[in-house]
Amino acid sequence: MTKNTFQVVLFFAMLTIGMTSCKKTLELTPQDSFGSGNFWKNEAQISGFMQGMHTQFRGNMFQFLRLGEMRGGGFTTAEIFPVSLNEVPLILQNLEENSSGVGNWGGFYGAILQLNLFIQETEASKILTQAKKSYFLGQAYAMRAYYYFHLLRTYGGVPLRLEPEVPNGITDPVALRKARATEAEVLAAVKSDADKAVASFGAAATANKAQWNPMAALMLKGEIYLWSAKVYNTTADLATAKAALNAVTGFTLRPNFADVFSYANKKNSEIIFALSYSFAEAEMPSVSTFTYDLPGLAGGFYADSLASGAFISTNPDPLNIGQTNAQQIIQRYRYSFELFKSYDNADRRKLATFYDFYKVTKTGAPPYKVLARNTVLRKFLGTIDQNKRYFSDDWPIYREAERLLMLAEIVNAEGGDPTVYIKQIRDRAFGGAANDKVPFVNRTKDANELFIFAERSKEFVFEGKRWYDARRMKFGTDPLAFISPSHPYGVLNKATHAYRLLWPIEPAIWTNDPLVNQTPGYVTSKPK
Amino acid sequence: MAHKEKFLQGTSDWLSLLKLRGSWGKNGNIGGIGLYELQGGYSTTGRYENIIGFSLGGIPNPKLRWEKTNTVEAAIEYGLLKNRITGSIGVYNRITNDKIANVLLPNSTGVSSIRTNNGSMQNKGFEADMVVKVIQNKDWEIRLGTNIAWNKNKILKLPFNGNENNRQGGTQIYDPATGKIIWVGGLQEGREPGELFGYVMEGLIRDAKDLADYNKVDLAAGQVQLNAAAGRPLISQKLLTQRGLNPNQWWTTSLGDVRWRDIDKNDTIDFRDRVFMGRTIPRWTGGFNLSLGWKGLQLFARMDYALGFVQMDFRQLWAMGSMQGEFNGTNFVKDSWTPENPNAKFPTYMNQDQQLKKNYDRYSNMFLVSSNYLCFRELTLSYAVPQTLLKRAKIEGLTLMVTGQNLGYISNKMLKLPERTGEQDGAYTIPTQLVFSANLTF
Repeated sequence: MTKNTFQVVLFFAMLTIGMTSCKKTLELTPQDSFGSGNFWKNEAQISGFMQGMHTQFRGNMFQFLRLGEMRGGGFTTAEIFPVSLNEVPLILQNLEENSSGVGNWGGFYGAILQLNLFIQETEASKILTQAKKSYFLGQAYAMRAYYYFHLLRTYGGVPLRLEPEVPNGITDPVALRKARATEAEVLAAVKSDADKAVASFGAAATANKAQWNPMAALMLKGEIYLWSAKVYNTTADLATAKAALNAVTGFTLRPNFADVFSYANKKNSEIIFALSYSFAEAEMPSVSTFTYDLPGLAGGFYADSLASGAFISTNPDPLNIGQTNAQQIIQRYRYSFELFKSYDNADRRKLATFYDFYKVTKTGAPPYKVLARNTVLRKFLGTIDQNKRYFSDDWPIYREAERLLMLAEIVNAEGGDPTVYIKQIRDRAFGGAANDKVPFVNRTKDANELFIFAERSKEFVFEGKRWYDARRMKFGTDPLAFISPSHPYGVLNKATHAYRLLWPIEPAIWTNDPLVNQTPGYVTSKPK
Repeated sequence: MAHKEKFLQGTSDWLSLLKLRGSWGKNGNIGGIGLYELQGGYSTTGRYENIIGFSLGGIPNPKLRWEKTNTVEAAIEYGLLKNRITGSIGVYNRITNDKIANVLLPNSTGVSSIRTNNGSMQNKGFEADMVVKVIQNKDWEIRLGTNIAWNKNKILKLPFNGNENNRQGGTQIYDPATGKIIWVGGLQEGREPGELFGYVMEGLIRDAKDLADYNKVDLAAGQVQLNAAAGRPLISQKLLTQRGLNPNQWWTTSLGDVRWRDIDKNDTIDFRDRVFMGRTIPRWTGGFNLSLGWKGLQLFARMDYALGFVQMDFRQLWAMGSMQGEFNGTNFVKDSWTPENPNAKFPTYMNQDQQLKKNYDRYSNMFLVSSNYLCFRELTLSYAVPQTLLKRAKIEGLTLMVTGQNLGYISNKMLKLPERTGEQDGAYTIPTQLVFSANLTF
């Protein structure tokens, strides 16, 4: 290169630098990563985002379970092993501002932000075919309704955010404050999202039962309207719920209860929507903490309360879950023995759901004194791969059994006879009507309600339903969650603790956002 | 070179150097911002059914401005007695505007915090150092060095948010001076960042008399969470009797429990009864060094210190509260209350303290302790082998050295690493090292 050419090149180089360096803000899009400037540009990104939201949704599984079931009265806080149990205040209903059970609104607003962004971008997107766009939006609206439905049932009124404010450039913490909407407003938003989901899916066929799908959206709509009808006495919503559930078609009960959850039988005919786990990808969180403490189990427990055999062996352990390289098994949560006892011995769900064992003083003549009765979870134990336990069963969000039991509840609320629905559940559970010695008989509305509640309690252990059931289902005009002489299911004193039907928020929430008030009824240190 | 000025002419027998230095500087900073952070980013999530997903990971903030720092500094460099004593004294005042910080957003936004320009902070202090050549002659050389720094941070301004002092975060306590509940901690205009608050252990309930006298209901302990007593809050027997409460609904204080200080004197221990425990940022830092030479033999020692800050080793608390049950306690367990050891420093050692009375499991002066320390950082002994011995081996120079590093601290015994500040978890100490070395020159 001659000296002259070099000077010319240098001149142009300087000129170029001079011309490009005057921009006030940086507006380049990175070439090697997805920034906000180059996302939402093709279908792969949009479907990838939907995939990511399902990963996140699955990540909330244990929170769904906690909110839906732990306060439902099926848990005990008495230890059998020398291992302390978790979340005792919550299980005992001892919730206060400084012991709020869960924090940060259950952690759901992070997911809601992603959904709000997805809905905004996908609604505006021009790169998708109409069919794909509608399906994606159906999924997103259903998922958002599901999160807000949990928030509604947990907190009543919550801040209602339906747009992605922060990604849209609002970053001022003051401008972002938002008070809790009323319970009615949240309910209206939840209904609206469920309606939009169903409408958006239209007549589309289910693409994948491990994701939100048209049938799952109808189930959700049914559940929301049933809640609305019974908790807020909007009786007209019963018909809407019933119509939605009747539109869910094509599913059948598996003949054998245990098969519904078996690893080999994922996405079976009973599953409407289940979160997908697999040994190669992810294990269901915390199942292993509903089992036994292996050192505690060693020496001293019998497989029956008569102590007829030898001590239970722990090598291998009775459920074959104690491999040293698998997730640590322990008993941090314990279902009450009363729940186990409530199953008829001929009910196949009993031993498909629980494994029971006993500590007995084997001296003198039988019957011996029973010191401890323990049950651990046998449902959802997953699979063995290469001699290692993986707790990787799928977790049903909706399945046919729930459709039938919701329809039973609706028909009962309408004053009809729910036998046809309950009988299907019972017959499957008992392996044929002949084995069911005390089948359902249609009686009063309250008696039927209690029967359906008991049936749901046995059917949906570890599926996150019982607390919501106790709030929705009623004896007379009171929810079953209230302690009553008429049934054994109550957990709250209506006169003194009715406010605890809803959960408190922790002080950090109103410290960050002074517009947010404590849930009504709870003592708060928030300044007026 | 002020010592050469006319008006200082008469001082030359003791003042050998005097230099005045002053500076003002302004610079911009975008410290710590990741490459694509401000554009917002879509990152991958875990797989679902074997397919990778995406989600919005980083939130874009196109409005972020430079952080600007104004620094004013003034210093004197001096030499006394023919530079036998040299050193400097300086002061600085640094004001950072548009400070880039992570600011908490309302929880319902779905974003916990965002990096934004968050007001102004002042950082001022003074620094001094001095070297004294105590002896310097043909065989001997003794030098002493020392340095010291004092620093204070103050928040000058925060974006308006309607709170008093535009406070961000924080917690509430009772203020005995005004008799009101006030907000402390977090970030507040006019206050220092990094202030910590906790309960005050006045002592233990050591004997029957202490037990009979203690009249508190301890709401800070929450509710007992074990078995039969589950759900019951904690109260002293005296108050239980006085108020005629149902003993089946309460759990009573017993021997070996802590007597907590009741700041607002309402017989109730709760969040209001916390007090200022200290800061996370040291006020004073500095060090000493000594070098001592005699012919080819040289000894060098170095120490450093920091004063005026607190630290809590959470793992110590966790072990003393026996929070997992299957691990051994620390040595302090021997100093916990038992009927045979009523004068112990710590309350009863009991399994699952966090589920019971929370004697250990709370922020208190039991574990939030002063982190002041003096560290014996280095001691080196070296010997330069005389040239006369080396010449025959055709070696230019040979120095033999032995160095000890991190030899120990004078500090609170509850802290293993006093250099850390604020809430910390147990850690391995910096290893003490003994290094032998030889330096050969050909």
